[in-house]
Amino acid sequence: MSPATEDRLRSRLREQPLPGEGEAAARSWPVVEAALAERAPAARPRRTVLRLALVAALLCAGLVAALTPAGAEVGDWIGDRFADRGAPSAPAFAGLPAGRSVLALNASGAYAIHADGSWRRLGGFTAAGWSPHGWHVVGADGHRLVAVTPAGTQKWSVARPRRVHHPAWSTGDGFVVAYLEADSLRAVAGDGEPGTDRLLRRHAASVTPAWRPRAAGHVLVYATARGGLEALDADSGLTLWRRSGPRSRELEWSRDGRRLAVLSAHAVALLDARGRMLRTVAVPGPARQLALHPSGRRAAVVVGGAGGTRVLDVPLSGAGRPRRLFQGDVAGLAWSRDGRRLLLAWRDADQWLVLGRDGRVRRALHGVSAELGSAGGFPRVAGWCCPG
Amino acid sequence: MTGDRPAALGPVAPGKASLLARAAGGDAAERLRERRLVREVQRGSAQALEELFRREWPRAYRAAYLVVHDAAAAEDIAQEAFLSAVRAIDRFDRRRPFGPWMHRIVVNRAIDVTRARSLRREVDATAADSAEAPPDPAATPLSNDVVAAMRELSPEHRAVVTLRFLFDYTPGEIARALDMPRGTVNSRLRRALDRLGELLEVEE
Repeated sequence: MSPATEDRLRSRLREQPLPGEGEAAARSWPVVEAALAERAPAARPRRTVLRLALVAALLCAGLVAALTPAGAEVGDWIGDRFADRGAPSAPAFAGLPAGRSVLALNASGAYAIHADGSWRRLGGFTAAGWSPHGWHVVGADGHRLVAVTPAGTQKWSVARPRRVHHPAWSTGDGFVVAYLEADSLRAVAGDGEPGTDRLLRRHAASVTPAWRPRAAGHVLVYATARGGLEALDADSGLTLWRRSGPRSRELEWSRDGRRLAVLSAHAVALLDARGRMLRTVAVPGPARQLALHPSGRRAAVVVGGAGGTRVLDVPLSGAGRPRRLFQGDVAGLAWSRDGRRLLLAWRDADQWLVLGRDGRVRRALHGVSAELGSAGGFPRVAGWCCPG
Repeated sequence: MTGDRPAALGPVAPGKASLLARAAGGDAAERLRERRLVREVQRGSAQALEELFRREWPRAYRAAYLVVHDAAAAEDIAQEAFLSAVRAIDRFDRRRPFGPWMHRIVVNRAIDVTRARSLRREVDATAADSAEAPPDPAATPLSNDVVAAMRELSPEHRAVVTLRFLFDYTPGEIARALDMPRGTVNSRLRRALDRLGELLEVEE
């Protein structure tokens, strides 16, 4: 390599703009700052002589700052810093990991939050879910089931006599949407064609039904009003299996469709695709929410109780006991599609946190309520695109 | 992985001080300022930390990016390096410069990440399709430039080129930073530069 090429290499390596450079710094600084705040400062001995010397040194430094060019530079930096404080801040959601959007719900409705920090209100939904590839969101709005794009454009709606709730778009081809109308389980085609809307079962519990990924046909598991579970073929209406058990609060399939996690008040049960029990792991305190890791081998579970609200990492394969992952009032959580990140909505601090698999906070998004307008209150995480 | 332990916190091998001092990238005044900032961070000053962050982030991110060639991974690597620094700041020896310790963590971690990704690609090509963060459109090849040419090298070769030309480390200093024989550094550097020379001079 010639010296000229070597020089070119050196200068280009140092100066060529890199993708994401500035945004990465903006996202990372709050996390680094939070780490400093969390750290307990080390106790240091106080020495009067040293303090006096420090005061004298500071006075000298102040004089230097006032009289020298270097001091002026420091002054400029301080000026810049204060100027920065008054400038508009980056969007609260700008720290989301790149690539995938998040569905959020608050008292005002549902929002699609994009990784660049932008967001779109989708409608006054009380419950919502992603379509398998994130091209649409289905929401429950009073007596209507509504499908919209992430940009907020309505694609179709179905009106029912009674209140609709707990919608779920089928995985894979996305051809079917299941939902509850009062206590009835119903389904409609993914294009909203009214003629396709049909009753599947009566006496369902208020739990979002779970579509089995990678199934032959459209296989759905729902919680019955009596407390059991039933799997059915949504195309033919045939029952595939049933089982009794404690009342379920949440149902979630692993991405490969081989394991079903069932959250009840005090345990996480893991079933195979035929409804056979693989294992049950008790959790301390009343369980509230579940996020099954895409592998199906662990789950993040929000529990309440005397110890306060916390998130537990619950192993569902091999040995090990639930361990605390996070302490705080969490309103919604979701794993990223590849299972590398866990997103928590931390209500106490008005923050969303992105945790690594080890439970360490990788990113903290501050002031999320104000970002969406304070009228709706704190936004909870309702899904991280996409179910697949 | 290597390089996770802060070099400035443990015993320093002969010659390490020269590495650290050189890569601090500045004169005595800079060193004094950095030392003051570290002291203030140890006392809990967020302002001092912010200045340290402003000074070191661009080079940390750039070093990570030049090795991994992925914006999201570079961000994670640089951020983790800063978090490690903050968590260990109370034990930091202020006589040692801060920057080189960061560079060492960043580059070693970037090599590990790149190796792990290559391995994953080999064993499961479909897993890459389901990655959380698809390649950032802005991170796709920057045509006709040095950064794009670097992508043609192995991560180990990228690391030595980064340390040599981004931070101006000598081969001996690179050897200590990456825990490898100096001869290996020299041969990697030579091969990497030969390859880059081919790529860049063809473009020229």
